[in-house]
Amino acid sequence: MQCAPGMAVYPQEERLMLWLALALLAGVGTGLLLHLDLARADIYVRAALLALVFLIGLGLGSDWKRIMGILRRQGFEMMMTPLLTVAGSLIGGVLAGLLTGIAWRTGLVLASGFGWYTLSAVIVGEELGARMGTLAFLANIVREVLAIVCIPWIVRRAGGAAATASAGATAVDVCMPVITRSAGPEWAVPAFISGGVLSLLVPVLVPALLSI
Amino acid sequence: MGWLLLALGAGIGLGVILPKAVQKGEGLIRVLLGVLVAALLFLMGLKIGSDREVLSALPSLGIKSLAMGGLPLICSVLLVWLYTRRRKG
Repeated sequence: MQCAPGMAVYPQEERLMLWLALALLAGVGTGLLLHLDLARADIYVRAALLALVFLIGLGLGSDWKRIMGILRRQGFEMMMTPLLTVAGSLIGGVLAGLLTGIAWRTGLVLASGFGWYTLSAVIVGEELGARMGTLAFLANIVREVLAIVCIPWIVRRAGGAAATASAGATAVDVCMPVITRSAGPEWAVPAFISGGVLSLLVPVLVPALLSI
Repeated sequence: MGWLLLALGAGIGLGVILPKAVQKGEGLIRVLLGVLVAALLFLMGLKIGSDREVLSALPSLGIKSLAMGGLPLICSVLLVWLYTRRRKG
């Protein structure tokens, strides 16, 4: 996909944010109203993600030389994004703990899920009980949902790297199409690397912080 | 993550082989991306709305989860933004 520098940020980002929020709310409303059997939902989610990532790849491949040039220039920044995302998330976890009366150590643990709500909730639930497990689940869902809805705005105000940081581990899957749609196709690889590094860190960091 | 890497690789490969065809279908790809993102979010919402356990925990854990999810996001964005601004400045 051709994307001139001036076109990297699309002009109708607020409208995109609204549509994304509406799609999510429509899903929540439907779930509340109808008692659906969601046994197959994960299969559909996976299929949609596969198709999305494939389409993003098509855009990247068709403009490969230009995008590789941009990535070479961004090399160092690409490494810094996951590092700063970890630091920022842990600082935020401690602050949230102080604000809500939860122990700062628990705040660190909950923040180190980086949006990967299924895995972090299971690990936290086993160690700290069902209530904290549910909080880990909810906190990381909140992070993912907030990232999805706010990414178009974050891209416009702070750029693609900051948008990638907001997504945490989910930059590798659910948030990647939102990032590339708002920031441009050249952000697919940085998002994949940052989200991938953070996803690998979750199963290491959550148990490590639990043992502090 | 492996299957995502495969899908991305397959897309990049096809895009490198057939750049003209992909650029011609750019409009369609954008529409498809939009529809798929909306479908993904709808499915995510559906899962949240159908999960009675999560819904029943919301009144007691809602504010805490908002802080625990929101502040790490805000601090990450701020750090990366400050870093990129400093590099550019």
